[in-house]
Amino acid sequence: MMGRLSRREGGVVFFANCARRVLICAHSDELLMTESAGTPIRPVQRSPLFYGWLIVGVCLLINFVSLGGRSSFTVFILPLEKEFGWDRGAISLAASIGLLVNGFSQPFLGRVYDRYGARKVVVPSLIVLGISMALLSQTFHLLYLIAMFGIVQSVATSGSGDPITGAMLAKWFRRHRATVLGVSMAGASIGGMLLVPFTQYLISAANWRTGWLVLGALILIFALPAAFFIFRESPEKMGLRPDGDAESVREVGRSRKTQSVQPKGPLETESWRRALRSAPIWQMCGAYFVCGATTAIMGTHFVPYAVDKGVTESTAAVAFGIMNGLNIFGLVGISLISDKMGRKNLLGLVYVTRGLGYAALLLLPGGWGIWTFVGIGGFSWWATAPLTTSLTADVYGLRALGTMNSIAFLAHQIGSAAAVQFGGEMRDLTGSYFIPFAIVGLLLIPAALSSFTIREKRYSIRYQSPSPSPAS
Amino acid sequence: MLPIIKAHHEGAIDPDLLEAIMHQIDRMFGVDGWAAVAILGGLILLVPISLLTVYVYYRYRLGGRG
Repeated sequence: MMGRLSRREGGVVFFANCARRVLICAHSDELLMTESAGTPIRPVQRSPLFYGWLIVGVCLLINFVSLGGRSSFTVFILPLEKEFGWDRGAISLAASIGLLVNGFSQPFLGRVYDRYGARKVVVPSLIVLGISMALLSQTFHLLYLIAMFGIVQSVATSGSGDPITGAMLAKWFRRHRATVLGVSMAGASIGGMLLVPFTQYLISAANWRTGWLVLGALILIFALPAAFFIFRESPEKMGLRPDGDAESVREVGRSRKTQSVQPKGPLETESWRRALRSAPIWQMCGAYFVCGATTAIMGTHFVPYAVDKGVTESTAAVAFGIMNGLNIFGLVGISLISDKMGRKNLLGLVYVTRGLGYAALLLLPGGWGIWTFVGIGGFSWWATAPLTTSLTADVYGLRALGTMNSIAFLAHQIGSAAAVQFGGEMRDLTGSYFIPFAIVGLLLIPAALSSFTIREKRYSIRYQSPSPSPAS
Repeated sequence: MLPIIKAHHEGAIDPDLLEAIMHQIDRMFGVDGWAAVAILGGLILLVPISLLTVYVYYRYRLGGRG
């Protein structure tokens, strides 16, 4: 049957009589449309901006205010010590409990995400996170601080954290998957750089209660509406394709019949239990455990170690600050590269690089060791996170990705907690950080080997025909 | 008891380290109090305002389809 064609307002309007057909006009790159029997079809114009980038922006904003806000806990320690007379260890207990609650609640919320989608997890989590942060302004007892920061807020952080937003972003992007994950995670780093000093100055100018109120308000006023109004579960639900790719007529027809045009990877699954019976997830979790250990031990013990080596505290602080700045470049840069080539070798290389940084720190004298470590280590500090998440998505698919990401995150947090405790204990026992740093640094060798030996070409969907491959 | 931890995803940093960093910032820029709050607050607001601008542009100028 013939369809009728007319022009209106600079666009093209198609009237079609044939049922279940798809028409694309002469400007096929710009217009996509579908038709149903006997009804005029509204032409849908592809805008220059892919909606997925708005999703990336929201994820960046969430990481920025929520994780940046959580990082600001540090600046509340001294005011709380002063007002209530609590010692630093007691206050730190809230943060330590929070770390473990965050790690252990993550897989459960990841599972909820896999079943019900991001909005139903992230939006309520942001509400709880914002309110609980504001309620910390009413702190009157240590148990209140522990319950609110260590438990309520930590669970809410799991619900809005990057294992979940990362799983959603993986649905929106295939070819640029690691890049968008890197950009989104950079939000947490930028948030830490801006929100921590902001809160410190706010506390100095007003008081600590105002500090918590403002941090809570930032989440409720900015991150919550952004997630509520902008989040969409997947491009398919908006009639789009991942990466904003145009859909060919053939693909539209095929996808209508089969609901899927993508090949399945050999390990792609809906069941996280089945995924746990395969090697790659354990290889990634093991490496991620070491990643948590090597970053957390340094975050906590870097300055005392530098002072032990004869470097002044302020120089060590500046060095640490520079390292945190460099990690943004490393995070985004390595993510960009990994979208152009294989991921597992790059992941292994990141662990090797970090190992070289550890070696320089331990073997070179004084300031040389510190600055070499900062230069080398800074670039590798956060880069493992988008690589691990995107590799997990490539190997296991998207249906159980929230849970899989969360399990890897749990391994990371356990490594963090164990290494920090180990570092402190060994320092007390031996009088030096050399042995704990050396042991943790040596763990980077199996972490790198574990990453290098992941059989990416066999399992990753990027190498299954006819999906876009890195080579293409 | 576990000390405060700075991990990838979230976490606090050592208060002494932070104090030293803040001291360096004060020395470099010579601002403190409400002026610093205003400057940093403005930078913080840039992030959601940029996102809102792009969203409004997308929704009303580009017709809402990516």
